[in-house]
Amino acid sequence: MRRQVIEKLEILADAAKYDASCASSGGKRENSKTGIGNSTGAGICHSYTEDGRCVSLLKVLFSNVCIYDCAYCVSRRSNEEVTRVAFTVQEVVDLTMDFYKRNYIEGLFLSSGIFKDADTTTEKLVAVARSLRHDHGFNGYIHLKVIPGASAELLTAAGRLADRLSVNVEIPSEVGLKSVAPEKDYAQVFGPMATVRDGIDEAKEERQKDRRAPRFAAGGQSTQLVVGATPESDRQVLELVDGLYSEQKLRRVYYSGFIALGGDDRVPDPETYRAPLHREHRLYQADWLLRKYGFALDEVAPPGSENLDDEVDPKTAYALRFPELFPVDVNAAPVEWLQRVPGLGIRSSKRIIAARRRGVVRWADLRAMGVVLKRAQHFLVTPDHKPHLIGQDPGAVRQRIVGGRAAGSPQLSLFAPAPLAGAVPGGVATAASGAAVRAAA
Amino acid sequence: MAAALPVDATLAVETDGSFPGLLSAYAAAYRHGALPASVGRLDEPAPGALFGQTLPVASDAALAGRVERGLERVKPGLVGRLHRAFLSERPGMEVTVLRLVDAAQAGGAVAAEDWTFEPARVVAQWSGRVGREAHRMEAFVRFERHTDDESGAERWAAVARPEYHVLPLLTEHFAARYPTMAWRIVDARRRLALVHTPEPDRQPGEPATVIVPADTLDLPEAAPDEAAAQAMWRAYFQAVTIPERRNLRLHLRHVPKRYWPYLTEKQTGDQA
Ligand code: SF4
Repeated sequence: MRRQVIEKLEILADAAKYDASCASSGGKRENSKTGIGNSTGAGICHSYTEDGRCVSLLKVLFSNVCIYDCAYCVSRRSNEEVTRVAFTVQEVVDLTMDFYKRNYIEGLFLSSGIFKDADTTTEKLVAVARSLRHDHGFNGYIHLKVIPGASAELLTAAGRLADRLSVNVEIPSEVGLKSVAPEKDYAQVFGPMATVRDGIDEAKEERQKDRRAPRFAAGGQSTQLVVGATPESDRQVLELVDGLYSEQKLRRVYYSGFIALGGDDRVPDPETYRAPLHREHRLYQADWLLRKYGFALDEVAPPGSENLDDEVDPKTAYALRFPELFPVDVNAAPVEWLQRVPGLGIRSSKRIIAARRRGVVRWADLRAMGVVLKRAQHFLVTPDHKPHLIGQDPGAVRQRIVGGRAAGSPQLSLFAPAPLAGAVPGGVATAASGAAVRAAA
Repeated sequence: MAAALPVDATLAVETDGSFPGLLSAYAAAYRHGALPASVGRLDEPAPGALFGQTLPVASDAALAGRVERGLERVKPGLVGRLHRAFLSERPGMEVTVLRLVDAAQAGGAVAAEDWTFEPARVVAQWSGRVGREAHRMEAFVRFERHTDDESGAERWAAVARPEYHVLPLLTEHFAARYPTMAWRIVDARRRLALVHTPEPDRQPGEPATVIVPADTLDLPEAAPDEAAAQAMWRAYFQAVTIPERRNLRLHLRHVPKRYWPYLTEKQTGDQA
């Protein structure tokens, strides 16, 4: 008997949920008068899961049948714990439209297990996108996952229809990848990634000449890295990421702290690796400094270093490594320098510059501007606030900052306690969610 | 540019309560040579003889438009910020808005960005809060499909309870997104509704989207497939949660409880 759509939805959403990227941001798409939907470029989270993640898109696999055997993935061929199902094109299209019209979602994020070969699988994804765009006048957001090894023609078709394409690198080194995903290699990943990059560049150029030239994945390209399933250090991860941003021109890299639930002995024992959510969080902070704050790779993760500082955020760690650059004068420093001060963000730095034009900024003014004084106090000078400690004893500054938020700290408690213990509860739920958690393809 | 106006502690103005009305009041105060210490409503009795002088101001669209254009020249985006702060409906916000309008026209864009200047900071902060609430409404509004038995016509209806008066800020977003759907969003707190009529059903010259008292509207029955669609969404929402990482505190920060009664994924589905 055919399975109910709702049952398939439960299985195929569950299998897709570990993919970290949810964003519907990047790439404006305007609606026509008779169409439905648009993308504003900013992205909207229509709900949040009970573990606090953004729900922006209908994120499902087309099928969880897969001929590959990636150790980190719940859909891997050798996992006998999952029920294998597949949607039809029409079912995915109907679900997307039903959800979109009710304002549940910004659009669709469609991925799939490789149920036959890369091209057959990609064809289905493209067929869904085509039906949405052409049969339903759908102008909402579409993110398609590129199946490693897919042909250039299919990639072109996908890029014309989608707002974003992504090929997951998954494992931060090729040696690592091969050790857990025997059928995969970097060529299968970086080949399509380069094709997509060139497609995006070309379409941009064409559209500058002619606004009616076809679009191509205008929201850019993203990828995901699983950290902790293989032994790469944070410095190695960030080296790769730096290259992905500069050479592959990726819009975003997502990090997924690996949580093994046992079952596949190619991936490490939970006892042996660092709290995955904490590591993920630090990598996101470092990534942010690279993309938004103009930090260079070596400033965030010095050459020869291993992992990011556990105790303090990467910006504070940078300041503590270069105490001679601090404190910075609130009333004189250029905005680029203010942004490098721990506790100051892009917005509060701009506010300081604006206030400076009308007068001298004093210590009491900073709080209202959104400066995190607790951290910034050691690194900023105003006429009525002159810190000395950073020049004399950076170690003591670290003590104070770390001491201020030890166990139960506001920042870390946003995340669940490192789920090492909680992750092995035994019983049905664990078995069903598989040995290793990860999304498809 | 002229110097900033003094605030006259004995002066009150009265407006029709609209934003253009408030901008018209600025023009009147400017002519008068002083800013008022209080802004009241023309249709509400003044609170006794607290003020030496009361200036009634009629809303003048052309005049308000001139003030707006002047402000946009000084600082693009400032009018939007003032409007959002105004929609917070906080007591005393009108006077704060007038003071910032005046400081911007006298002192230029820097005045509007200077957080050491109280009206600039208060307007920016409330504009932020109201903008966030509008953004949350864009995210959390849930439409239900209703169909008329006889004509088969479709209506999409949502109910929400926004903290601030954000309906005017939602018009553009939803009209661009769902131009062909007949939709409405009811503000249950204020008993107002934002109603959109798709093009073929509109009289010539009638605006696509209007705000009307909610009590004037009626609604056909929920469509037969509505309960199934909602059940599908709840199933999806359950499936994407990672139970090992459940974190109620973080969840509540993103989706405070006050939104729950209107969120499909937070209902049990029994009543549908
Ligand atoms: S990651 Fe993709 S290719 Fe590998 S097993 Fe999972 S679904 Fe298959």
